[in-house]
Amino acid sequence: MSFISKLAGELDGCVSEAIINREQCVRIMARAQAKHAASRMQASTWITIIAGLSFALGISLICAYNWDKIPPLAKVLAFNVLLLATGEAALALRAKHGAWALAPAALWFFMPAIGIGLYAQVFQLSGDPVKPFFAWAMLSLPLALWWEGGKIAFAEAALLVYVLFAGAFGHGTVMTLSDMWAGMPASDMRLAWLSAGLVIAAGAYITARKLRNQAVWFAGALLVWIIMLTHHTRMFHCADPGMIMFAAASAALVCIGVGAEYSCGETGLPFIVWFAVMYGAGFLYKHDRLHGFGGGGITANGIMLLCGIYAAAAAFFLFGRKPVFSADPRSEKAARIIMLLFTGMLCLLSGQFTVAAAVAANIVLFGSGAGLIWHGMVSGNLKHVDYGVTVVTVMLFTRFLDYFGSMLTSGSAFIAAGCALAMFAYFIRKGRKIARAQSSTDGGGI
Amino acid sequence: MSRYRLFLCAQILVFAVWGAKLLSGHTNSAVVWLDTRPVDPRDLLSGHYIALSYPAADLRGLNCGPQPDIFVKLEPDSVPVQTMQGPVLLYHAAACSAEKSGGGIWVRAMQNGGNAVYGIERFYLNENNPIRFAKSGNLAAKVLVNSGGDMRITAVAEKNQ
Repeated sequence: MSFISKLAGELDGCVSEAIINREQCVRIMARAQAKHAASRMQASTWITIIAGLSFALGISLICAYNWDKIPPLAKVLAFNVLLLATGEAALALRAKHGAWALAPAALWFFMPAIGIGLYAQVFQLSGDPVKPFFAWAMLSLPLALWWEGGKIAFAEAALLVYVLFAGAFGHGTVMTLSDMWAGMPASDMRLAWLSAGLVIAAGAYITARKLRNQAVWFAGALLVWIIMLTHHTRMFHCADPGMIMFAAASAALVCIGVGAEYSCGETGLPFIVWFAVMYGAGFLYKHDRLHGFGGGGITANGIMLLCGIYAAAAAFFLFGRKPVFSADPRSEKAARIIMLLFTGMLCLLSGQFTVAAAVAANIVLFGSGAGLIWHGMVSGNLKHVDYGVTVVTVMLFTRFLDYFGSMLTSGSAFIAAGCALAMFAYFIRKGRKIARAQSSTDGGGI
Repeated sequence: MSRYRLFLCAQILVFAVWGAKLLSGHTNSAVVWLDTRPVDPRDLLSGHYIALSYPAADLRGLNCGPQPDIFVKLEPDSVPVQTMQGPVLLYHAAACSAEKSGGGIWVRAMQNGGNAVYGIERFYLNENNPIRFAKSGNLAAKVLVNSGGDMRITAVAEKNQ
């Protein structure tokens, strides 16, 4: 069933239920049909497209068969003509059939990559594996910024993220920052930092201009990249697992803040990351102190970089306007401060306070679970109750097996745990009943 | 003219200028043959290629200094090697310096851990080309060297064992 048929059915229903009158129904239908007709292609256009595709396929097959016999000049000229034709086709379709212009625009976006690959093949160009992608990203940036809609911009952002990671952490590229074992000269490092800065600036600009709803993904990728710097570079090296966990939890908080501010509340994954980091920290209560990994020691720059992520999280949580945790301003404020304090506590995993911080992480998780259940019951939000139950149950099982795992013959511990869980389930059930009753009283659906 | 057309013109200008530079960059160039050690990967953008490494890239013992950008002097071996394209003299690295000094064939290179990177480490070819399956060290590479010392690989030939 077409869109127009569905709309007609819906409008008839609206007229029969007296939501709109017959005249309004006729006007809405006329408007929808006019728009639909404008965006539909004529049969002659389809025939032209098929003719064009057939012609292009024929040319492609002839070229492929005789590829080695075609002189380089002809290949270069053909590519430039094709680039011109693709761009013009996209612009022509954009003016007449906006929606149909996306296909040639997407091809236009990929044309620089095709050109670079073609030139590399024709002229036997070797060398830096990331430079072609960097050049492609820069040559496509204006198109991604100007083209309507977010699809080209999203492809560009994904390309920039690839360039950022492959360039910085790959070997032998113009953007290589992994100087831990290679001993890169200072001049190359300056160029690499400049290139990385350019890519980050381009990615941030395109995200701010065109992809605000997906801002959390670019922010997350950038934060992961920053944390990886502490493993791959001498300047920011930090071989301290406690600090890395602290930074990962802080990065999750930044993403929660970005999600709340710009991405219509897309914060599910960052919350899971935050809980996962806390959960991991909870296992460390048996460790006197954490040992570094990977060699290379800890630098002040590295510590400052990781603390910078926490500072960014604090800025979002202290100055962010949109609610993250609760519609109630007091609960929201309290939750923000508690989250910041709990996350800051993870920096104590380093040094002499590992056990204390790990025990605190366990308490935090139990407390967060209980808080979610309580908040869910008070506000009538059953999702929060479910999340809280999940957190507490996972923690109970984990700590039980972790602590009593070596004494499985001692059945009394299992019996005690079973009793505790049964009581817990009873209270949850009671809480759900209260929440349902409250939500039905308030008239809000859950 | 709209900004889109200006952008399209700028893109075409980039590819036209780059293409012209590549087309004209190695006219009247010297030709050298280099011994190789190949493997066989694939490039995402450009297709199949033979990854080549060269004995002439081994700079240990030449005392090239710490700078990354250098020139390497290539000199021919005394004994020719038989290839599918006839007998050729293979070249080896004889000296290196921050600048060209004296006559002979000097090529531009990047120094990386005692090895030279010449920018001719890939040779793209048709995926049905039998050379793709050539065994390591079984190829010689024909390379053009222009007046600036830039190299471009133009052919590979199997050596007769």
